[in-house]
Amino acid sequence: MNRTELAENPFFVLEVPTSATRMEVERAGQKLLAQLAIGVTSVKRYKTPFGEAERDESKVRSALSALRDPEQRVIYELWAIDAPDESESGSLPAWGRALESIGWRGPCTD
Amino acid sequence: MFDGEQLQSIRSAAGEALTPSVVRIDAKGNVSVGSRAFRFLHKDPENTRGEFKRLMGSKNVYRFAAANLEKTPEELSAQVLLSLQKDVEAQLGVRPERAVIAVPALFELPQIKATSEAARLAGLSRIETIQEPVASALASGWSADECRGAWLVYDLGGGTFDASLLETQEGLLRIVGHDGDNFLGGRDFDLALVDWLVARIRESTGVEIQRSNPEHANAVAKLKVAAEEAKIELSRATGETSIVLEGLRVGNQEIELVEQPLTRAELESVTQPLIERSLRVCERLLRKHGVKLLERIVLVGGPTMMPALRTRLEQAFGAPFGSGLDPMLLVAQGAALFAATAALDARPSAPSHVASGPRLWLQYPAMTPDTSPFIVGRALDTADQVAAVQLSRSDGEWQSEWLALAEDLSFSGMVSLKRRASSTFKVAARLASGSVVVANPPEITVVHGVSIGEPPLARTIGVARADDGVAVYFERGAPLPIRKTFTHRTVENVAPTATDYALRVPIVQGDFPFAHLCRLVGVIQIPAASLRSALPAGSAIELTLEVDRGGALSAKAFLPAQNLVFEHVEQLLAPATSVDKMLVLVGELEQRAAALRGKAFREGARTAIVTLADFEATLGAVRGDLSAARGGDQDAAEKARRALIECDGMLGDLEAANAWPELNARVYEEHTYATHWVTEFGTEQEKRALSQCMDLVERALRARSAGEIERQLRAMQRIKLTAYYRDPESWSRALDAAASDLPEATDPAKAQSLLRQGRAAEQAGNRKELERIVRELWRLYPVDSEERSLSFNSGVR
Amino acid sequence: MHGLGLALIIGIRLLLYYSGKRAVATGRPEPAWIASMRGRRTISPRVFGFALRGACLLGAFLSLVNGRVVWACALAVLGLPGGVLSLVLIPAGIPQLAYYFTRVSFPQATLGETRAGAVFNELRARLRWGLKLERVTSAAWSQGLVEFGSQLHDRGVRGASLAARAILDALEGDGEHARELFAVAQDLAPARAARSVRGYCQAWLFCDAARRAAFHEVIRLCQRGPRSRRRWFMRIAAERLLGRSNAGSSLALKCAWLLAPARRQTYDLFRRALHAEVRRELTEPCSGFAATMGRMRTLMRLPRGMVTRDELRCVAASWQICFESGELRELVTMRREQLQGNFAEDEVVARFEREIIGLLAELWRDSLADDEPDSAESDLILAVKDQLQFELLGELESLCLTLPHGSAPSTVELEPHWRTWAHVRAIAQLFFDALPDRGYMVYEASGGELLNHAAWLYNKERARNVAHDIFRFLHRLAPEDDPNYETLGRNLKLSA
Repeated sequence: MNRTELAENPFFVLEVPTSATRMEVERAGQKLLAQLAIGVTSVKRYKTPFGEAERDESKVRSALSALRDPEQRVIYELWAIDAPDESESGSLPAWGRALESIGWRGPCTD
Repeated sequence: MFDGEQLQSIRSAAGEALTPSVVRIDAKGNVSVGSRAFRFLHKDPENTRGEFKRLMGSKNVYRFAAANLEKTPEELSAQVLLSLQKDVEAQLGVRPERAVIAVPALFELPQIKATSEAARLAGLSRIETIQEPVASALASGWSADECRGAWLVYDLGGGTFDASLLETQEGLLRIVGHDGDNFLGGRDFDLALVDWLVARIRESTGVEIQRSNPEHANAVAKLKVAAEEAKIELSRATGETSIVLEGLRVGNQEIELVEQPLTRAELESVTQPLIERSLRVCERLLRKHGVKLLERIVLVGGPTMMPALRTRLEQAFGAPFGSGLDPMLLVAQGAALFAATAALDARPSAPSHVASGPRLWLQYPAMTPDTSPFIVGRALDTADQVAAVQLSRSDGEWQSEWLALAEDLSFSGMVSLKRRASSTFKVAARLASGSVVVANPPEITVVHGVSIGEPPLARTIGVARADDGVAVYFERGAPLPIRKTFTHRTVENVAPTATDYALRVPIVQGDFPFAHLCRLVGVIQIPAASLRSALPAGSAIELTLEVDRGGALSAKAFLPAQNLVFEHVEQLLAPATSVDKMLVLVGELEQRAAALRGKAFREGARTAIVTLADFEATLGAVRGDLSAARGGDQDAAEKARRALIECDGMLGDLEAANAWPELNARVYEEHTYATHWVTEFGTEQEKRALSQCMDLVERALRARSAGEIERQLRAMQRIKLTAYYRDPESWSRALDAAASDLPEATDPAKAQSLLRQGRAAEQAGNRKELERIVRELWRLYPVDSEERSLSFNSGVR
Repeated sequence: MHGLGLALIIGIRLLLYYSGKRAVATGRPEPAWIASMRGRRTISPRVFGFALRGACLLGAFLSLVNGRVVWACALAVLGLPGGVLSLVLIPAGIPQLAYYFTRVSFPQATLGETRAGAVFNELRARLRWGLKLERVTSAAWSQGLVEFGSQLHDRGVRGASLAARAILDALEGDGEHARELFAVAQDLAPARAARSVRGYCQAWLFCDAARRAAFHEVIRLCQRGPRSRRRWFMRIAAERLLGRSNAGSSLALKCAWLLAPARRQTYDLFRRALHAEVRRELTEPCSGFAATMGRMRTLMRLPRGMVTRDELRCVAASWQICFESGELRELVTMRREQLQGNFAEDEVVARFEREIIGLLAELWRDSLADDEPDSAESDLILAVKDQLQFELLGELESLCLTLPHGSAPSTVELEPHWRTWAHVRAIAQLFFDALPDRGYMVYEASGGELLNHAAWLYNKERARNVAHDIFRFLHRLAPEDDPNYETLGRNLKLSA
């Protein structure tokens, strides 16, 4: 379990609450697939408690399949549960001029 | 064929709904397919072949003597597909370019690939494969009044048996699990009847017909055909029929006339074991998914027409059968429904009428179980200045609001469908100027029916590791399509100068934890020559495996250190099998089973005894198959090979289950020894280390982590050995042990001389010298390097 | 006189160089008397260097006295090569100049490595202005110049060669391998790597970690390597940026910045660290499943390395209450009824627990160590530590088990050995950083195999420098009453 897997929780990908019925989940998934096929831009990113992430067709399909299986759905519900927000923010800015300080003007590594 | 409301089947040129998959090539090279060829199946077996579906993807090649040709099963399947295409063209005037082909659920990856290859040979530009249980489930769901609860799809075909468990809820079907037997089908029923006939013939005429004798093959074929006919007749009519054969040539003898009456009861008793076998598979499936009550059983396949089977199923599960369904056509109907949903309309697209009106691109499901699905669309030309869109149902009973277009010209809205029917919606657009026009396309149709979730993966797929473990990528039952990437590390240095060496990444399929038990389905080779520089051991290698909706596997290996990508996966065909090797394996398995059986009886372990009984039954079948295989029956050889892997796995599971308490016992035994030596000869630090080890072992036992326990055991052994070797006697004992193992030394002469020196040192009481000699001796004994060859020579961990 | 001596020394070096080149080109072995000169180390490189430079400086002084200014300047430049390189040639960044100057003048820092040392200086010079870097990554350039040992031995592989190889890796985009090699070079014995080279490696590692915003790695790096002003400054800056309560005061930060090198480029880091505030630790207990999950998410949202171990202990305690009180099981059972599922809730609960442990292990790995011993930890934290230990030690062990030893056949290339050793070192270091109180397990898990591998490297492969480094590492780790301790000590002295 790491951050990427948490952000790819099907409930976040499909933007449905944990109490949604089967039909509502399928409907939301079908709508997203249609919108992605057409190329609606507002649908390409989705919000998670860890920031925004990209959404594409394969993610939506695997989210739909995951939620059809009751066992997997229960686990994802536990991870996506509505929780009170203690809002601490984001990332430390990186030190962009770091390598320059040792006299390095070459390409930066990953 | 599905036209939105009804399913229709298209008849073949001979006027039949079903085309048997038999191909005949005569001396002139003319190919005939279907019932015309079927008639020659036993008259001219050299040139007529059937039942090649089971052997798709294997290396078998069929010889057609008269035309002097050799054909693979893929080419024969392509001939069947071509003939079907011609039939469709004759009836509808259009030759289909795209098709949906139903494949058995337990088809392995090489076989699925062979099917697509056959389609390509037949000239089909786009195909989708769908699993047979999915197709039959779709068809039965379509014709059912309501969908609720758990359904079992019982598919007994000519060669394979598939059982699938479905969960249904308001039209949403979902495949929960598969099971089956790739080598149980109508053919086996025929063979059982043939065996019975052979016994009867032996009684009446004294002539022994042997299935394993190639000279009797002709007679056996005739018996098979007769048995099949009798079986079909008994399914229709009650009471009794009789099998009549004239002029049966058996080797050098000839039997004038065989007339054997057969009652339904006798048929039932002959086929009973096979039916029981299929029932066991179903029970296994239900047990695995914790389903106790079935709502419905869907029967698919010709052999399910047998009344004996139906009564037995009703007895076993107590669920009603799906009514109004023709078991022989169900799969084809399901495939047609699937084609509708997958937008595989093989008809040429209708010419657009002089289409006026603003062009819209609409996305909507062709068939859905949702009564209010979403329709999403976008205006394609900004010049048209479309402001809003409205959909009205053609029966006038429902109309949507005006859906406004967003900035990127897209819109979406819910529509309401008529239950269990197809609804047509007229599309109207309102322009910026305020006028309302008919849009292009003017109408769309959505059908309210069933949908089926993507079928799950049939078997676990993973990568074999160098230590014979499997790094699992996709579990059995994972929804398709699916893709995962993991990072592995290489186990050895690879230099680009070693031109004929390649790092292998074997991809295996199977549910076993050991790589050598799984089936190798593909290998990514990383040739040393293509590396930019030496790749040290432990460098990262990122593997991405992907399985698409049809079940085709693709893989990619990426070396981040050198920025190289390798994508070519050698898909392996089913390996050839040798009957002798399999017999040897049977012997080994029997030995292991004997040991396990003794243990199980002593401890009264019930499940183990049951498993061993299953094992015995399977092994018996394997022996039968092996003797048939000697007579040239390739099918039986394949079946035996598969069954042997299952047996190996069964025994492996039992041994692993036994290993846990054994591991426990080993741990305590090791601890006792270690404590003994450490208290006598160990230092303070070692004592502390030992008690810490023990704590960690306790925790690992609670967490059931076998790897951690192994590591702590090794650590304890090290501590024990360190203390042990402080005992002055220990080196003498080691010398004696080395002396007794002398025959195994790689260099016996040197070992002898060292032994003599060792004895001298022992006499002189020189401990250090003795220790040095014993250590040198140890270096001469061979080290076990068999492990890597077990795991298909994998180079990663 | 001195000129004659100098000429003799230079003449011998040229003779050896050209003879070697001819031997490689024609394939015929060198004449025995030349080969014996090469093999024998009659004069240690350090003494040779001192003698050479002393001679040059003396010559410069004498020339100045005699009025020959030009000669004086030239000999002075030759006599102080280190200063000239670091003050003039490398900052100037003119390609090729630094390389040839190093080959000619034998600076102390890269003695014993001639060619590789020259490449190291050349790379540093080119990187200054980014001139002509495209050619540098071509195989021909690097292979021709940085050999990881000839066919005979790797005596020429020391700090500067490792650093040069690591720079080449970094230029090719392979950050992970570069980091590993720099870490090995930084920790080489002082006799094998000059202080300036080690300082450069340390500086690169700092800057790389800070560029990826992995300030916890910066703090971990500050605990090893050569002591320097840069290290002091980076530690205070990183601690303040991570909001730690025990970070240095602003006064200490200002002093450190004023004393550290490259003030202009580090100015924005300094300013950010100056304005950073202490973060409040989230150590209040949470009650209930939802609240605990919320706290987990908050901790996940924090930047890497900011989460403290006390916060993790607190959230683990809350999770333990959730698991033990059965709240989780009730939730799962209730949902199972509603969804009409057929699964066993035990499995789901166990899987969720495993996933929580995995997530906590990841957070634990990136957090900075404190001094709590194992005995004071709760069960869940022990499980987390065990999980981390299992992963890291498992990787270490399986790597060490495949290392060649004993009578394995010898190979041609020596570079893979350094790289494998760097990788083993990196995993071991990660283990020490993440689980400092269980550090002894590294030696227990892999000490024997590493010892055998190093012995094989020394005897069969003649890769003596890497064997020496392995022995040094093991000697530091091994407890004194370990039976192999004496062997290690002996091997260490032998390979020095």
